[in-house]
Amino acid sequence: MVVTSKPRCRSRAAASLAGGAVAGLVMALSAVAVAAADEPTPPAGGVARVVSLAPSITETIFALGAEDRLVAVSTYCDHPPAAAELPRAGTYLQPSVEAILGFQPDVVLAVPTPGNRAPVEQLRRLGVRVAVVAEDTFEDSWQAMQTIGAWVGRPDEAEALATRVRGEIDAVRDAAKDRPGRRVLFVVGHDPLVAAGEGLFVDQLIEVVGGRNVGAVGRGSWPRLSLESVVAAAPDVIVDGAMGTESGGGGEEALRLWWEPYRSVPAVRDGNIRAQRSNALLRPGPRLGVAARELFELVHGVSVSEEEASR
Amino acid sequence: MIDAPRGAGQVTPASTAVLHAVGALALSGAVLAGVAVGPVDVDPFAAWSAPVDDPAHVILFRARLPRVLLGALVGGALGLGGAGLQALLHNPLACPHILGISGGAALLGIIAMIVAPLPIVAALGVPAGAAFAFVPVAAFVGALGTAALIRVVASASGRVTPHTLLLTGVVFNSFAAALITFINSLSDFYRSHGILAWVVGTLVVRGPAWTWAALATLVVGLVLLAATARDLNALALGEEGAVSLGVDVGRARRRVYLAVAVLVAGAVPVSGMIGFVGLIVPHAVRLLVGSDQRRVLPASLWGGAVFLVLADTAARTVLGATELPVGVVTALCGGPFFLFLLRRQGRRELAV
Repeated sequence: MVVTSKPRCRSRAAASLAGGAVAGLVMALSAVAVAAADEPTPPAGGVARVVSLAPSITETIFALGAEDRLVAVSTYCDHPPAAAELPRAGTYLQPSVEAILGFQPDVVLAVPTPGNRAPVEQLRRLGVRVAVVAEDTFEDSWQAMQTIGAWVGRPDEAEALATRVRGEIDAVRDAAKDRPGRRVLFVVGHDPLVAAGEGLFVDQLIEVVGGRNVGAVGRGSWPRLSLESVVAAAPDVIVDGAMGTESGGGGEEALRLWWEPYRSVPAVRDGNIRAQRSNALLRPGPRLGVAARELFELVHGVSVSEEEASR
Repeated sequence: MIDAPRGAGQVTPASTAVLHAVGALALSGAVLAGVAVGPVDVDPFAAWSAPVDDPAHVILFRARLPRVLLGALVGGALGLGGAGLQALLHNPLACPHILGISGGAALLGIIAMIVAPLPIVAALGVPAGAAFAFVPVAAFVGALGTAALIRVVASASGRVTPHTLLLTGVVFNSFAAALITFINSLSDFYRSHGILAWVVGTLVVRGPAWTWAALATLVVGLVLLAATARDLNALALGEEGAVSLGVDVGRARRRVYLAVAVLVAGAVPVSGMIGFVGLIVPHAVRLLVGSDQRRVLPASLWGGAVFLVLADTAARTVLGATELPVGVVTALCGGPFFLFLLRRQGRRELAV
């Protein structure tokens, strides 16, 4: 089969809407990991034509300075801004096999999502190399950086990137040492209430900033929590993206109104309902350090640099 | 003690009062059970006497009770709507969900939910609070539009067979689900949870205004259907029989569709597409009170309320702090029941 047609460029509006932070949802559902036995090995020096099917992979390739090898990305890849200008290979959940074949990639880099298993297997049957990396935890991200670095011929830079981001996270952990421990709820949806549970990098980020993730009372990575369980868990801080500034709505004022009836919750009583400000908090990869600093400020009300200066 | 109704077919004010008393008693029991049980252990008596900002008080009276009461309102609306449709269409498989009326309401409701927070709405001078009132209105338009569509399609074939109706509903549901999935794939991570929950059906306490709206639509739907109960009884004899009894069939039909659309418009914005309540409840109720619509309709209201309160109590508690959408519980009860009815219906048609 010869594919000549250029993949269509999806609507930018749709891409930026979805660009929010779909990553987390999907990781929650990513029971469908592709068998590790099929993983291809990168040749020395990497390959020239790479298709990225996840925002975290795209961000990593840019952070390694290898974006010239990137021929297409998923519709949700919007960071750095230059990534949004690249041709699209379908969504994070549903990559387009035809579009990807049209790009004639040397490798397709993907993360396990509920929707992409069939396309990934089809691509492999058609002889396209597909490397799948995990992105659930910090450790997955460091491993992913190594794998991605090998494919784009930047193994040393990948090592350095992982070390740098680890260092950024350690600095935040260090700054949090003298801060009081806080019970944190990381909300991504109201009606029903959905929050970060156990086992994801968000859970780890909360721990880094000296918090205890009360969302861990639910099951799975993104549990639908009952309101009364949240009231009983009594979080000190609620980091809430459900009416975040990104998706329009009323920001922190709307959030305050929504939580107002549950005023036995310390976060509600003390006015510690904070709107999430950027999608870094839901993106594993090179911006994990940025995410840790942002979460520190949301949880403690002071920035990491202010905390460091006050010592 | 109130006099027992004279004869099986008689409906007297006294027997109606008994029916409502029994219904209210059953619902009170279900509500008490619902309030007593939850993922967090709370002593109701301690919560009653606790100050208003005590966690026990907040859990019981601000988190749990509003949810239970909302379940009663939504369940009542769905049970009543199902009873009305089954009577009008002489079809034991009819209910707002299966006929696609809930789907139509959910579709337009979701579009309104997406559009309401957009900057352009505020730019047009609509206050933020008022914009969300579009959701029930849009749900009403969607429900009424679907009902009209069903009428047109069903009447085009001359004779309305149960299968025509069901197929119309199935096709419309698939269509609505496809559009909702499309909208979901355009919306962001934060909103996608809400849309998914809406499709499965989950009770969501959005605030007192929404609950009052559900109560108001329930009252309107009840009044409309109660005014049609006699006509529906006559329609049980067939359309010609009803006409010969002086029934304005067109008016009865319009009233029922309008009532169902109003009921669904109140329920869907706070619960999404909860299935099978409107299917199961009227059947169970007819076993208890017979087939006189003057009894079936109010009894379906009470029965639906009791059923959904109990189903939601299960949904709230079986997984601990993690909630199950109540639509999962009702579908688990209703799916097998639907197949049973379909099989029975098939046998009857073969016999004819």
